[in-house]
Amino acid sequence: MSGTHNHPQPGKILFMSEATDIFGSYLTPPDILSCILVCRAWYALFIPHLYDTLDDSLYAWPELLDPSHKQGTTTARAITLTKTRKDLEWILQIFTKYGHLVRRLCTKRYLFSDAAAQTCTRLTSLKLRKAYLGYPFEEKDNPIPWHPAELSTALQRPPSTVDRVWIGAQWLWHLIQRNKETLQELELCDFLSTPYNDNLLDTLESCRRLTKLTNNWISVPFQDLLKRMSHLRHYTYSNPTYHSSAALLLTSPMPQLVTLRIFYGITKAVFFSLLSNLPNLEELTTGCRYEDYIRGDGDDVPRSAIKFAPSRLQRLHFTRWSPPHQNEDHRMLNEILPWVPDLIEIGISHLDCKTAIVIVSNCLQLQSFRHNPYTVSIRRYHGSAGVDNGPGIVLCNSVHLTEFDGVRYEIEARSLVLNPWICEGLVVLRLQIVGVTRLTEEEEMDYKQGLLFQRLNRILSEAETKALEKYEEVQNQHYKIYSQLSKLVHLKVLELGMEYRDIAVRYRFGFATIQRGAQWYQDYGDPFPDTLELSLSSGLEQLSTLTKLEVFGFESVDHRIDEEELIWMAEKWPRLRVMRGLHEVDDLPLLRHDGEKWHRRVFMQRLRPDVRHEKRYR
Amino acid sequence: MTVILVSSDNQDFKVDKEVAERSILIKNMLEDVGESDSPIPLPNVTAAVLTKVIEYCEHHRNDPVQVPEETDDPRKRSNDIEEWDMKFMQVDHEIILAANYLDIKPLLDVGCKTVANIIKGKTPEEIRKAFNIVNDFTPEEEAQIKKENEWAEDR
Repeated sequence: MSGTHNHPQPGKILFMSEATDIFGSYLTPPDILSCILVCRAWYALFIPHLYDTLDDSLYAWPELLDPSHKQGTTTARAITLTKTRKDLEWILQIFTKYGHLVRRLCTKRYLFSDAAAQTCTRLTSLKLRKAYLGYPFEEKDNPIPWHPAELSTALQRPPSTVDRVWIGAQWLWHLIQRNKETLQELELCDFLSTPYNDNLLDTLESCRRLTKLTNNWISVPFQDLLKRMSHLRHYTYSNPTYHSSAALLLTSPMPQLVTLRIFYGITKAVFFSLLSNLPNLEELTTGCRYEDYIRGDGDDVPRSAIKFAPSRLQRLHFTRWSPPHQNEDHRMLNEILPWVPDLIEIGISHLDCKTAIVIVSNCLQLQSFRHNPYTVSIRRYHGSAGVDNGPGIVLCNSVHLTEFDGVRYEIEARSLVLNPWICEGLVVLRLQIVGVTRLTEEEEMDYKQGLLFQRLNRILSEAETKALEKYEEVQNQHYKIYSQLSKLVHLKVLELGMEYRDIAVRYRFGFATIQRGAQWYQDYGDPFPDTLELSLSSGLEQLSTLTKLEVFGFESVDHRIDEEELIWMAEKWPRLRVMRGLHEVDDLPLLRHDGEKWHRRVFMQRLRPDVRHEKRYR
Repeated sequence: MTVILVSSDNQDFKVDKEVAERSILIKNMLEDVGESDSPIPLPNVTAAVLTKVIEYCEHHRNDPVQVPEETDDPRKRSNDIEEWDMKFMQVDHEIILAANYLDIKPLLDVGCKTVANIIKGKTPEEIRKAFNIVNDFTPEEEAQIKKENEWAEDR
């Protein structure tokens, strides 16, 4: 049965079921594939881990399943197709043998889900993603009981639409029916809108363990859904095009829901109907802006009938924001926040002074502030109007704050120095410090010359005198900033900058032009000149108090970190695990090679091989 | 307050209660017997291994209790082992067995990560060599397994 183990210790470990479960979770399918090929005993141990989670978008599945699969259009490396496309029989054979081991399934291919529907019976998680229609769909002999109404008009529709309707219904029906005793999590893809009718609710209701539902499209009346699914705890609705919030209005209490995420705007009537009728709701996310909030969209609730009641809500997130020139979102927050006195976490897309004041005045228990970026942008937030001091207001007034996660936000060095933060329990700080006084290249030369002449008792020029004075100012300001940061002795994450990428913004004729793609990133890597110098000569050693630091980020910061500083960090921050600032930018081919960065990264890797060099966005 | 642990080869170890309680097994035993000076026998752990386990618990005595991470990805990462732990785990894989018996989850975890790191990126033959295992598949069986599971190959 098993192989001979002359070196018994690791062998013994692997036969502890708990240990193999843990190994399995740390290994990817390619590694597990190697494990099952080691010997028969390892095959038996690891095969359940290989099939625990299947996703037909990962590993070699697309190559095996798609007739016209093309690889790596964005990557520089050339990939040749080595696998032959498999037919239904092959897929079915695999699923017949191993389908009973699958617990989590994520699929967007009909052949894959059809095979799964015939063989998987113990799924706990099922994610049906947007369909890939590479195969012709064949109608089954035993059609499902829930016939999409659209079929009656099928002849008037393009054939692909009929396929989509049918495939959607088949996927949902067969897979759910087979796994209704075990399913705990279900994600519905975005083309299942048409098959919605009462049968859908019947089907969902029959899944008695289903506690987490993500609905990307189907407009199910919320009240009906919750009445039928008394076990539902977490609901996400993310239809980006459906704009009426009336379907979400609640008129009677629904105690089961703990998390609700709706990625579009809702009206004031709907918002407060949710707060008052979901007594156990802990987390609410909406795409609500002031203009959505004050809108009436047919919910027929007179303003006087809106029921206001304090809610136990702990986490509240907004995922969109109004443009700056018409931003009145603080008014909406001013109405909402007094009704959520237990709030410990807030996430918003735009933090200006007015919003910050509303937050600190109402959220006295606030522990976590998170920025929910609506778009990824290369552009720095402030323009000619300067930096808004929203972050400073939150940091100076939230005594319980442990997390400020807003790396896109900027705080002026001057403001930071003048207004001490009271949140000394901060564990996570992601924030850019800008407006830091720094010497220009010319001033630096004058400073060095002036310093030398001063030592030699020679008369200094006006420029050299000014450079020496400015250097004092720079040192003084750095000292005060470090002094503020050094008080945050609980910090585990400190990120002082971010890598601007993914979307490039250029101004042309006064308008911003946005374009995706790597070709605009030739200048990537130039640091912002008014940011913190992170050298020992600027006073970095004050941060030796941050002994718990695990993540340190300094992308886009004009940091001047060199070998001396890396030796210092390696010694003073023993828990450091992740560094963001020296990583390789491998997917932006037009960038010039940064030899200095590469050298520093290699140096740090030698000092601390346990520290990963990561980029923030993957 | 200290407690006395007795290894399988009858050696006594005097340890701070706080340190010993990193082991859930010992913590539960202490709670069951209440205030007592009686030594705690650990028949499945040798003195050599217990010395190392105590060293680990001493080093991590102030660590917060581990909370399982909530993530959508069932696969976890194993390249985040602390430097001290990495050196520590190079010593002896017997420690993993002891961690399992004594119910010290973080130690079991770091041990398993270490073994996972040994496996990662290796071919079946390299794994066999690393763990000194003999291949007992016939060539036909091996080919069949490869064929059935080729979806798991890295693209």
